[in-house]
Amino acid sequence: MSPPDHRLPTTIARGLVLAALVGALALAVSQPIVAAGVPIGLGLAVAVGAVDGSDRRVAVGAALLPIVVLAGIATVGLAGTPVAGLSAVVGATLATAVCGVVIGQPTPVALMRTGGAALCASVLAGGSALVAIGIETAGGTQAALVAALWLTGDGISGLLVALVVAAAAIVAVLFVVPPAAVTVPSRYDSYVTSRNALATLVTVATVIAIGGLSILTIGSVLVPALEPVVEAVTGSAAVRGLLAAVTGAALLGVAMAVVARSVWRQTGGRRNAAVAIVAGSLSGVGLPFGAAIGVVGIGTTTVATLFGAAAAVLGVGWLVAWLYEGVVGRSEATNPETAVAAALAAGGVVSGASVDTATLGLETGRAGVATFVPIAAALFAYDVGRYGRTLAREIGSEASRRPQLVRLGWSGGVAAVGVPVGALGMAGATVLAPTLSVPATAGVIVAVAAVVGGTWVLVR
Amino acid sequence: MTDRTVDRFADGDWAVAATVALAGLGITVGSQLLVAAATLPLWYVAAAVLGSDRSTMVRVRRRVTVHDASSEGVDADEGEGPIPASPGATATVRTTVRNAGSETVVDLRVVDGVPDALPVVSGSPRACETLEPLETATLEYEVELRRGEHAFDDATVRTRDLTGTVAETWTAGVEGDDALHCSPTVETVPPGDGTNEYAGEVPTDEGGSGLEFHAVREYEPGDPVRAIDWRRYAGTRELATVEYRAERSTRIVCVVDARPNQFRAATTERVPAVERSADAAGRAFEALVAAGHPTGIVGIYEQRLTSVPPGTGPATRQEATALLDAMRVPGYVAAARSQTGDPSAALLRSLPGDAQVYLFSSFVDDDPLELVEALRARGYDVRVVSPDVTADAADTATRLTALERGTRLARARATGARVLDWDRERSLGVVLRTVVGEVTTG
Repeated sequence: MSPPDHRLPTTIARGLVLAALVGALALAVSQPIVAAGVPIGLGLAVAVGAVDGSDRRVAVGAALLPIVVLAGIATVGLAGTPVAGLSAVVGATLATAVCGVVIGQPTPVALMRTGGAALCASVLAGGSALVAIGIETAGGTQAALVAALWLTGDGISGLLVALVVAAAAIVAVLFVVPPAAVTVPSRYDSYVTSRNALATLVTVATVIAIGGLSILTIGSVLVPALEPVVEAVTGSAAVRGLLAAVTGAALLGVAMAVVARSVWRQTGGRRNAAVAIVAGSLSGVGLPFGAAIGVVGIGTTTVATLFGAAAAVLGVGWLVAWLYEGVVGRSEATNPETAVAAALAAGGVVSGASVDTATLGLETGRAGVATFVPIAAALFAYDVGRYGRTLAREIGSEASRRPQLVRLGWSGGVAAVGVPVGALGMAGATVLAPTLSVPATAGVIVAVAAVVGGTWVLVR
Repeated sequence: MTDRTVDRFADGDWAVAATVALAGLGITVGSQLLVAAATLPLWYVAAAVLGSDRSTMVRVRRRVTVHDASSEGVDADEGEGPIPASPGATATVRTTVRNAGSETVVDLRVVDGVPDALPVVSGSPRACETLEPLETATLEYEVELRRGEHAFDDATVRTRDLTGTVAETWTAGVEGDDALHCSPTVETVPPGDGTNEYAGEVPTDEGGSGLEFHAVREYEPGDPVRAIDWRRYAGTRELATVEYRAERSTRIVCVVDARPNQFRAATTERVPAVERSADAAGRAFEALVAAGHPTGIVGIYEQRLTSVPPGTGPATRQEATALLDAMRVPGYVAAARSQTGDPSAALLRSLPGDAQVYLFSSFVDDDPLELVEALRARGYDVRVVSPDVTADAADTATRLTALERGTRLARARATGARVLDWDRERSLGVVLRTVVGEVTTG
């Protein structure tokens, strides 16, 4: 029976999704923040899925990735306790793994692009953190803006320097942007003519402006009536703001053009997604940064910490994506159903470990539900996932529903029987406490295991 | 029904491991909840204990209906030997599985024994069903017919019990239709010199056994009686032997140039060379495999060569499609068989001695020309399909490239290779008919 398919059969996949849902709900009984982790995991899965498509989808995915990471860090940071933080991570992991079960493993191309987007966003987030620290050092957003406007100095000399820098930036962007980004080979000659004309126009305009300002300045020495005009021009925040905006936009264009040039030279490919990744990452990091600094008014220290952490997480994400791409390429990746089981089990363990002493109370009851049900769901997911994988390998993903439902029912029944029995045993243990301590409970487990093992040997 | 194998999977091992892990974690962190939760996996161990080996009886019956242009949807008489059909037609196979036992089979998996040479074009010869006693399930699929006689194998059956821990596997004898005989109506002519000494489907210029008349020569002792030209003997009383074109086997390798310079196109709005090459190679591959020629795919990268060995089976088709798809993505090398180093040298090392080579490259540099020269020097039959990515160029650089490319193609022709300069305006179908048709139709 040769392997005809790699996807899980639909009915088994739905059973796994149901198990994940039940496990997540049970976890949320004890740690509601698990629910906050779920959309983050879904967002991550959407971002990874989106980059495996057209340039527009790549840009959307690349923009979504840093936003999801920032939201995840904020959620974990606001969780308060380590257990709550871990629960949020479990929720996110569970949601991502469930998406993997439904839509399949990410392709090597998607992972390659996700890694690229993570690296790009990591650099940008790191830069944003540095900018936030700079704003903090400058004394606030307004002070930083004012400092940026008057960076070239006061008076006529500062204005002339700002004018020259802006003109140089515009000319630079005209020549650095790859011709292939704006024209086709058949119109290359006319493009060169237009570009040179534009650069000449900017240069001439700058020279005229410098000349005019110089004449005005000299004239104001001779004609005192011109002094207010010179002061108005040199001291105008609007003029400086316009020049700073033009310079900033041009420098941004230069940076993007340099990235595009280097990447295009490396591959020479038609379907290179570098520009879409850079544009998406830029908006995915820039918009939250601008919103945090300018609109929401979060403290710059917090913003610097948030974006610094995001840079680190995205950097690790790039490494993980790179390594995982190789693993997927060699067909050695962990199956999504195993990831679902692992996430559910981790959630149950975190909930169980958060309770030191079990008592007959509501709190213990909630912790018990959040421990037993996810672990039972994890066992169910692992058992059913193995069955589904075998079925897909031997028959295909289009296998009949009926045997799958039989298997789901059987495995679900086994998992469901264990939960009330375990809960009753736990209740009994709490009644007998402290006689039935942790070592004593372990002794009971060993005894039960011995009975099961003995039965197995007898039956064999 | 033969060779029943019963496998008992140690299905409780993972659950025991989970129990130990949970109990250990619980004791380590002092959590009674986790220790109590360690009982949960034990239920799976207990459930695995219930697994039992129950012998299952199934009856399998196969019915084949041939869909031919001349005999649309004709059912063959069962048990009357191989079913006659024409190559290229399709046949619908309905295999019925019946639970002949008295107990329900919760997990019955059946794989019908489809002949390797017949590709399944729709449906599936595999099924997994739950069958009550005397209940039946039907597998329905269509196969595309190829020249020759094709025998169906017995069906492979595997059952699993409710716990999934005991599996029984055997090959079940199939009643009903078990073979197809496909005879060609009008067939092939020689593709060239690229054949080996083994019998196959490609007629050559040698005399021997075959279908097409080749020559009449003087009778030599030992010639088969059926080869004697009895008409001549009746007229002249001289014995002569009729020879037919000997049919030999050939293998074809489609080599696609997927180096970075093949991602070049005339303009950004046009398709780059590698996409056109991969597209043409894919369609050539399908046409050649459909004609029964074992065909393989080789991708040439900057310092790597990936390959799918010649074949006609579904696995070869799947691997070839994956390899061709991967070539279209810049910088991505498919996880196929690959060799690093100089790709041309690796190709020459690994190419079968009897192969014909179809090279798909835009010839914008000298490497493909050097490859053609090396192949021709070693006696390989070479056909070149070169997508033109320099046509209608306005800029000087591309016009110069076009001139150089034309020179390279002329030099490739001079080596004896058949070269087709594929203009963008010319349809792929026409190109393939011109090139591939030489193999399939002459």
